[in-house]
Amino acid sequence: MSIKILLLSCICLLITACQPDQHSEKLYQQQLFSFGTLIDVSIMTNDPDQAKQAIDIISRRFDQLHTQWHPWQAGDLGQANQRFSNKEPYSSSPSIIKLIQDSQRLSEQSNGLFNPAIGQLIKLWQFDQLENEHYQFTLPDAEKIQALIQKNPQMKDIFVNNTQIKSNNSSVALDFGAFAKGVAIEQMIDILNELNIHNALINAGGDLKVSGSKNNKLWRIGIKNPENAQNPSVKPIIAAINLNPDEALFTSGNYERFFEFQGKHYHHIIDPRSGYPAKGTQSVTVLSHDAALADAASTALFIAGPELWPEIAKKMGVQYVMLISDNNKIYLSPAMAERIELFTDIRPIIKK
Amino acid sequence: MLTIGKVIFKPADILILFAASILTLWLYSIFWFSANQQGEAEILRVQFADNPPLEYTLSEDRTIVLAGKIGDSLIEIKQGKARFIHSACRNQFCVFHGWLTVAGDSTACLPNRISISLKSALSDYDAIAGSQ
Amino acid sequence: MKLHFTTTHQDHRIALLAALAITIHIIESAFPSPLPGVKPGLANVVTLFTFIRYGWHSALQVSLLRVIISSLVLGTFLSPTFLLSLSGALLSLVSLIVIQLPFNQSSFHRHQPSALGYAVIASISHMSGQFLVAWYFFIPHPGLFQLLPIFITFAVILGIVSGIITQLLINQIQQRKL
Repeated sequence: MSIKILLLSCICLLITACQPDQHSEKLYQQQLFSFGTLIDVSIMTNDPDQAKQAIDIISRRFDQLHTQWHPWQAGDLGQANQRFSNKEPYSSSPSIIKLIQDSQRLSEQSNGLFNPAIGQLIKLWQFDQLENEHYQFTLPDAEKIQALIQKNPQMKDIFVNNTQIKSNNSSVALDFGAFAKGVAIEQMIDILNELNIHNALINAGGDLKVSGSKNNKLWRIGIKNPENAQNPSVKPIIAAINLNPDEALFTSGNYERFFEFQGKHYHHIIDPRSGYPAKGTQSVTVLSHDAALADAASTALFIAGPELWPEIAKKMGVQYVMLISDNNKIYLSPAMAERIELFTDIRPIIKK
Repeated sequence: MLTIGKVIFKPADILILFAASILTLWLYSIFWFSANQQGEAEILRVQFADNPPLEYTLSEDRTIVLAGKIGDSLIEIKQGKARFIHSACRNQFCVFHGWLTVAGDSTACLPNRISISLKSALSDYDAIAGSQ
Repeated sequence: MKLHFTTTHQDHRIALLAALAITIHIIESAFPSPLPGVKPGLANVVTLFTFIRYGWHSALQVSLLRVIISSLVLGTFLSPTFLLSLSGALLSLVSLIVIQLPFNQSSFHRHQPSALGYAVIASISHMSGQFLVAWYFFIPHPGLFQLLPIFITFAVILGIVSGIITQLLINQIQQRKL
């Protein structure tokens, strides 16, 4: 008899020990057209009404930030840019001040490769017109580009005094195209947390951040192959990674936003040193707990290219990087190499 | 009753062996030879402005025409894949995106406010990074 | 103070069978396996034999003793290997019990499957139990299911082999009292 009792107690112990969490939530998913992109919000919840409310709040907030942070519209940033060009002071909202201060720090860490002060240059390339359906793109004038590069607009040209901001370089214009999305996603995850939603994924045009998990399984993300998807022999997904709670994954790619002129693609990531679209890289993917940092770093490392990226990544405090170069080489940071699953025959190059 | 050496097969054994073979073949057909392998998409979801999303099965080839704000967008479903084949917009990002083949992938024509995404019950990915 | 246990003849028999199963289990674990998770499963022959000769009560005890004590000896107690082994053993016993249910009535008793049928059932459910636990707890990746048909094929083949062995074993010790 004693054997039976022993065995029974063992079984009870084991069954209670490995019982999975019974509290399972359902996935609630909605797509929004906002912030100049397609935003996919996934929320794990048992209360669809709560999810719907949360998505409404997020949607409104994205729209709000889009106008507030638009470099050339009548919002807060647009007005600031106007004053900068006249070297006049401008009394700005705390949200813009924080954007400026954070990007001043990141710009310095990236050796100026992440440079939101080159708004004029971006405008010269007409990337502010991507949403304008009737615009005819042309190549910018080389002399005008050169002139702007000479004037060297930098984040450190902006001075912040309480709520007053002022630039002593009239060529400075802020365009947070490589930063705003990260800051916004960071805010949205915070908003969801405040609304008591702790398991979510916000994907804004392929840049994303997660909170919590999907019923105790980590959120699993496929990374798109930067090679043209028109070609059926190309694998659509080049790698996959499981994200821990509160991790963000940002990708800068030359295939994302571009215009075509006389049969040639001109992509939107402008190298602040040359004034032309950055060369040498197809895409950079950065993983970090901070979506804003991931956003800025993916742009800076894209411009840094296959040679320089490890140094800049270290300075910016980014551990997880994958860079795919123009000649189809895959570079990984050591930490990234440990986490990423690659679905390609190309042997990755691990760079410290 | 069938005997091989000293081992006796009873009718129940034959029945069990038969069932086991069927089960094995069935598993091969599901997990190896089915058109719907894991991660492969089953449904195309089309979101058009603020309308409730439309869903189409990927197992039937078809072309969907949506009249948006700035003109027609043409979406093609072919051999379990989907893509924009025509869009009235200038940038043509959605057409350039090419075929959607993996569940979780999506693309959109923002000016026309149309997005398409692939769904599957057994999706491999919760999201696709680096897509536009 | 002296603890006094009264042990029955049945307890002795179970201890003997369990010891045999544990020995086979440990020897088996020393051999490399062609596919992770695929083992000859000779230890299950003992469980099966016990089930057919002495019923599911005894078989459950032998089976659990084998899983727990072998894992303690091999140092895998409460590890993933142990959980896999336990889930396989439990599911295979449960399905044996379920299969036997309709034959418990005396009129059907003589139609019940022989060791071979039971072994195939036990082997398939053993593999499925392990597979599901592996998938649910350790590798929650849908791609794992691509391997399921292969595993089940092995399970059927090994089930037939262990069924024949069990039947021969039963024939051999038909007359002896254990």
